[in-house]
Amino acid sequence: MSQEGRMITLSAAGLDAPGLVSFITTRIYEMGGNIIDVEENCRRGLFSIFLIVDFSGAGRPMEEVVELLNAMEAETGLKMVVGVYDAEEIRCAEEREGHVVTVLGEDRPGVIAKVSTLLHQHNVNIETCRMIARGQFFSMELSIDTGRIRVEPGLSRHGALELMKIELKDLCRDLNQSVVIQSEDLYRKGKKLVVFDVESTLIGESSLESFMTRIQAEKGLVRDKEPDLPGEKRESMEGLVEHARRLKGIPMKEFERFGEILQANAETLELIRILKSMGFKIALLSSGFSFFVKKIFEAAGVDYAFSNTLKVDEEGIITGELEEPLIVGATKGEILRFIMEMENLLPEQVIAVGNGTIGSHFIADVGLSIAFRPERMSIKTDGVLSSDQITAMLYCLGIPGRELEKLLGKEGKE
Amino acid sequence: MYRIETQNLRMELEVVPVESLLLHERILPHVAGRLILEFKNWASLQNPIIIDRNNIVLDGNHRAFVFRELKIRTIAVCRIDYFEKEAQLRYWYRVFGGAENLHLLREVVEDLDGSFQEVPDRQILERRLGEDPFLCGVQMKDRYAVFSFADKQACDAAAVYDCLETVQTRLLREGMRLEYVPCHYVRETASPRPSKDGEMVIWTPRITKEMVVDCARQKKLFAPKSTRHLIPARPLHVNVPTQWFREDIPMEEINRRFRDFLRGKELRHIGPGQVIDGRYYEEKLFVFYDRRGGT
Repeated sequence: MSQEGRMITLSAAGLDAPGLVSFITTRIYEMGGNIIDVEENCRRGLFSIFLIVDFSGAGRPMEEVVELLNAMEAETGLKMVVGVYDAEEIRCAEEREGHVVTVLGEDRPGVIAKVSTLLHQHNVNIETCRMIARGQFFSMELSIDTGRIRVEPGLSRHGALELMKIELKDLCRDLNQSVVIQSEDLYRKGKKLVVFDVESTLIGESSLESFMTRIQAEKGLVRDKEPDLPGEKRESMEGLVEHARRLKGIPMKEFERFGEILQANAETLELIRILKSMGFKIALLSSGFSFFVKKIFEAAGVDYAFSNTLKVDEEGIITGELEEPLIVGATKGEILRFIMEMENLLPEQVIAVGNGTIGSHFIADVGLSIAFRPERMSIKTDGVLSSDQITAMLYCLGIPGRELEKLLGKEGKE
Repeated sequence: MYRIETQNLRMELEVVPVESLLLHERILPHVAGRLILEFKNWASLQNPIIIDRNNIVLDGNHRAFVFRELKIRTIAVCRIDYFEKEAQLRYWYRVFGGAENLHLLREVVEDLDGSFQEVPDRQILERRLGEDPFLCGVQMKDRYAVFSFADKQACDAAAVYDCLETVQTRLLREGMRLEYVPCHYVRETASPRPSKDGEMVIWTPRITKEMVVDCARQKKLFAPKSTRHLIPARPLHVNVPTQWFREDIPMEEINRRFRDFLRGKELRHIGPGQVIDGRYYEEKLFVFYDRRGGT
């Protein structure tokens, strides 16, 4: 039979009751329909279902089909809307290009409206939208189809997608929201390893440089006031060696006491605990000195931690040299590849969190890259977390809302 | 033989007969039991044991013991120069939980014909231990004491540790809990491990490399968890199938196979103070690994 006018969309909504899906789908089957797509939802006692059904194999006129479908309204108490289409009018699933967008931050009016308007401007279709958290903290997950994204003249398709991502990140920054955009394929891939760039994410101190400045200011330990290193040197091998040189002659015992100055982000240990309970392996990479990392390792226990160790002489005095090989921004990628080899993991199975500067460039080429509280973005990441709460990254892992609340210990508190 | 050499370090990885190894410490039965289960079920030998030029086992006593128990012929070792300055010998302190005061310890020591004396502070405790190599120390919050055993029982370091083991057994029988802590966690770091309520720390006597060599040669064994060796570098993840060590083939053949096996792997040098597989290593590391998709 011709497929002309024999594709049906059926939407039904109303009060939820057990057996509704069974009733509707059985009726469609009895009428000779073939369900080719379905989405059903229940929220707060309300029910909705959307079906695309192919009736080309049914041996009855379409008027009768529509009449029978509408008749279910009285039998179920649901409001039914039936649409009739030609097969060609319905897009094939293969044209789809799925992405998952997670928006999170303080709850405020207008976030959904502004995000959806921006997506509309790019001709990006929102397929599903669900709240993961609502209350003081807001988190929403959108499943979007970029298969028909608007490609401006002079742009490639990939370029159009990147432009949309940039605009979405800018919009979310203006709305004081964090946003993570992941390709659906990668989102669905099981992640196994979470790697953190320590200075920029887990330790309250924003950089090794400010730590050194604080030591100098608060303790007067580094004898001569030496000029701060220029920005470009901070994450370099040269900068690190210079930091070590300035510490020459200081007893290691004295220096280690400054570890007390460093405060782990309040939620750091909690995040590591949760990720471990979910079966993730955890790696910490630091271009700072080892006691930065040891502090977190001793408190939380991690699988891998790499940082720089100061050499000391027999009397325990810092020699001003570092144990090789040095770990700086440029070598972190190499270390991450080494960990992946050890764990037999592919890049798409890795989540990496840094601050989005060139010093954490290694986070860019993994399954999910997140810039946490970026001061300036030098690299492309899948997402930006602008809130202070690093545990917010858990909202980007596809964990159902209730499960997440359990993990975060929020269940029953609101 | 597979050699790892740097400017000031030389390690030789090879396979040796298990019977040629000299242990220097008794084993903990529960640790040995777990390893027996592992190796009985054909687990790979992840890391080589560390031995010195005289085949004295410096790290891996339990694995060497278990291989001997399971009648496995050979084992992979890493040979180092024990008397190299960078090979350091430390020891384990005993931390007892659930201690109310020092009375019980004093009673147990005196039952063994030992002497027990409280000292005013930590400095004096450290000085006294420095003067007498067979003296033990004890710390409980702000109280300090030293104790020793009768000469006839404690004629050398291994014998002092044996006496300590007897003390341990008595304290455990009285309901205390025992934990072993590296000596420098208590003594040497900038932020020493804080002393908790009801916690009594026994400072064990210093052990020297010469004492270890003497004991091993005389086939005398220190009590379990006496020595703690910090070696200059540690090779990790050789991952050799245990089956190889069971085969009755000439040593040259198995060593050739072992060398080729290691040559087929990637080797990464990692500085000290890093965490691999959830364990913190104070030493330099040389980690073997297989490159994905490689041979």
